[in-house]
Amino acid sequence: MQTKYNKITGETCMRTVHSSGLTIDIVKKPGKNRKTAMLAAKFGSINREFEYNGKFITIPNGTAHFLEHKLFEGKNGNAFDFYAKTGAKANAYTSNDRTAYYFICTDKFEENLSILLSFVSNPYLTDKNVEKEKGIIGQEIKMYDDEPSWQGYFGLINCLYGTHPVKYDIAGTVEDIAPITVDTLMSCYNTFYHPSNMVLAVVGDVDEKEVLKLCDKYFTAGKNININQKIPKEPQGVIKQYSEKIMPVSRPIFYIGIKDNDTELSGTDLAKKETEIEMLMEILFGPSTAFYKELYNEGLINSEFDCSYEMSDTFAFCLLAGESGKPFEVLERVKHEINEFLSVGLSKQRFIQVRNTLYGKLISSCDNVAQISNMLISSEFSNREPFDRAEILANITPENIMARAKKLFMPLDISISVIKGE
Amino acid sequence: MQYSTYMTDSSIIRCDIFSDKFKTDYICIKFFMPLNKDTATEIALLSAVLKRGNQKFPTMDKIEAYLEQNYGASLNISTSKSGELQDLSFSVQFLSDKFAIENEPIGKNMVDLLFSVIFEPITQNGGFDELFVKQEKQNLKDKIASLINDKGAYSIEKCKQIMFDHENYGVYELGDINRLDSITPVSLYKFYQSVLSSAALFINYAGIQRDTEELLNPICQRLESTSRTLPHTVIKNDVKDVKNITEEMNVAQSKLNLGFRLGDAAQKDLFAAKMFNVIFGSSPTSKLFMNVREKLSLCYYCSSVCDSLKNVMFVQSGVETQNVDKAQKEILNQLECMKNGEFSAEEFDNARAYLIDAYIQAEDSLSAISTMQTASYLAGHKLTAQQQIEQINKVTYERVINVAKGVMLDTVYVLKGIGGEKDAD
Repeated sequence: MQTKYNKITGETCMRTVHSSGLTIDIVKKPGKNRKTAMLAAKFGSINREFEYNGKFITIPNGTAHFLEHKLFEGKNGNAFDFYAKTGAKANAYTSNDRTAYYFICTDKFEENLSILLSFVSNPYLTDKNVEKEKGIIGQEIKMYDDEPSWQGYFGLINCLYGTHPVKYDIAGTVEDIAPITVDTLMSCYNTFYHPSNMVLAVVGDVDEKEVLKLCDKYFTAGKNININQKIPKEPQGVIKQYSEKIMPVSRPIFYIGIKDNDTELSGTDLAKKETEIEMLMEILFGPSTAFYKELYNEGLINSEFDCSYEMSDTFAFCLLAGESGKPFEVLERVKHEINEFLSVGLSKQRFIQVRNTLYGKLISSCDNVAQISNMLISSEFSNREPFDRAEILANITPENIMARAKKLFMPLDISISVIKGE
Repeated sequence: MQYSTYMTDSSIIRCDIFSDKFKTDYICIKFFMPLNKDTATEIALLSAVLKRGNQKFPTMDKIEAYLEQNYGASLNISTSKSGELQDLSFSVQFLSDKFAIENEPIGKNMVDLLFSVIFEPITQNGGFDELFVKQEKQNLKDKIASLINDKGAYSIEKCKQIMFDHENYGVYELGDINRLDSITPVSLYKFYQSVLSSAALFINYAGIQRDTEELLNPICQRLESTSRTLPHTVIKNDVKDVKNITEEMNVAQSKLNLGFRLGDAAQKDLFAAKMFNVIFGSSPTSKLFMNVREKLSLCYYCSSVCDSLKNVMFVQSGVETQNVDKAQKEILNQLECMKNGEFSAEEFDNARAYLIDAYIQAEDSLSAISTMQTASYLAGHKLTAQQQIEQINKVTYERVINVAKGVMLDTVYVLKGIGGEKDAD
């Protein structure tokens, strides 16, 4: 096991690649009660076309999420039945680029890990239980159909993206999932749930030797596989500048997106870009900015306003979301702010202030085992060093930020999605 | 982890939780007032106005810049209800001093900030800043109206309003749009002074061991008072007629909400009631999850939540409109099973493990452990997490059945979906 100590956060990460190809990251937290393990496959809603048994297939939208629902089910009951005995809190999620299964516990860590590895490595799929799941997922989809925030968010993604599969809803539609069968799910499982396409992240006061022993039990040694898949590359520019949807809401909700076309990066370069853009968002639109204060005072935004950066290794965009009676005025002000910034530049003082904020948040996040495990998975999937942000923050300069701003905002690919009341 | 909870001579409930396993520290100051329709709007409005600025940090961006200078510390001012109590809460979470690059005293800086926010608001003509109040009245109006955006939250709030139409528990903690017009900067300021001088008060610190007397002294000194009493929640343990209300809305999925009174046995036996809730509906192996979702495939979520201070329980589920009756029938059927003692030793043991794990997990979060200490004080038992675990371990099968037998359905509220949404483009 390779051990790396990060001086700034005081955390140590142990890393190894198991003989099966599985990457294992362990961060020990002596004295903490909570212990967590997260097993993730690099398989999300964007992985739709791949080679299987010698030919390319395209799976229905929502398949990755459907498989997530099914893998916690076994011949002798579902995973929750087993976790119920240990008291662990378990769950799973599917995003654009991954499916992750995890538990957080305070006791019987090894038994809990054993349950996790056993379920995810032994799919139990029958025609009957696949059909049953369609009812449950159908209601999950309908719940999201009624959620203005989700509808607004996906409305924006469909303005920004026309080719990249991030444009498809993660759960699919009721019609999308109807044709899913055991075979569909197994073709995905056999391809994307190969250990060499997965990462296990463990955080807490655990014994690493026991973790390795359990991995030996559930994963057999073998060659890495090379997944031959197609993720269509997104051209520059937006598809639509505007979309709207009418739903029962009290006042309009808006989602403004700025497309980041610089998506060919990985490793440290990707980590640097992420840090630069997160700082940039805070510098331009964070709660300590004149922009925020002015729009708030004018009643154009309220405390719901938030800005963030959504990123994976094949797509990325900045998001500004909130409620406003005049969403288009907000959009104009955002554009104006960006132009101002590009011409005026960044003061050293402001730069240091925002950098310290990110530094403080990074260290604070180490108090939360779940945040660390998610960070470990993200780092591995994009070939980054865990806790690499600490070093990046220490070395970043105002010039880096300005150069990034020019790259991100020139030309400015911006769209707005609005949910309006009836 | 070391706990100490005590009441000071000036009736402030102080709680210190010391641990060296965190990289952050946490301070929370909570004022508790009776929940009622005459003051709920004021309390909600206060939480917004006080965030806007004070004499030392006159605008929001100045407060935010100060938080940024202190390594991204967070300040939260909010209100919530527990039982028939409404709190006005000020909390800060911040990096422990030892991580400061230039040895800045972050903890002390945060106490300075809290002091300014609480005691030095901007005043004008004997009231709060007029513009702040005017703008925050509009924001609160929008916020109350926006409850409808979240159909789950909206429908459970409606269920509560119907169920508690003659009880203070039915008051929405963000208040009432119709009351906003009568609130003036002067009336709000006067009300705030009464909160400071007479509301029940908890001051919690959680984090690295330090002299909290010295740290918090500036704040505690200003809050000396002799007349702080904890408000009381009125519990009703009988149901005459079950109320059934259905409302239609243009949504894809119907929301089923059931309100229950937990009854005498639950009121007297808090820990058995907690076990009942987990076995019945609040865990992913509960009867509701296993039957309504897994077996009948009727929904994505179906779960129960209790408020033990008010001795009530709510069950929520999102279902297809044609399945509303079927889901309701199954939920009530599962409650019958509980009453008949039809739950296995395994379900019982699982619930115990689930609860114990939750207590131990809370000890890994500063805000969670602080909240738990306050809740145990409000509940009256004043037990620590470890002591509550001992109580859970003593609960018997019979005590849970006894609780189940007392549970009564009070209100059924259905938000009935008619059709889907329309596309505008």
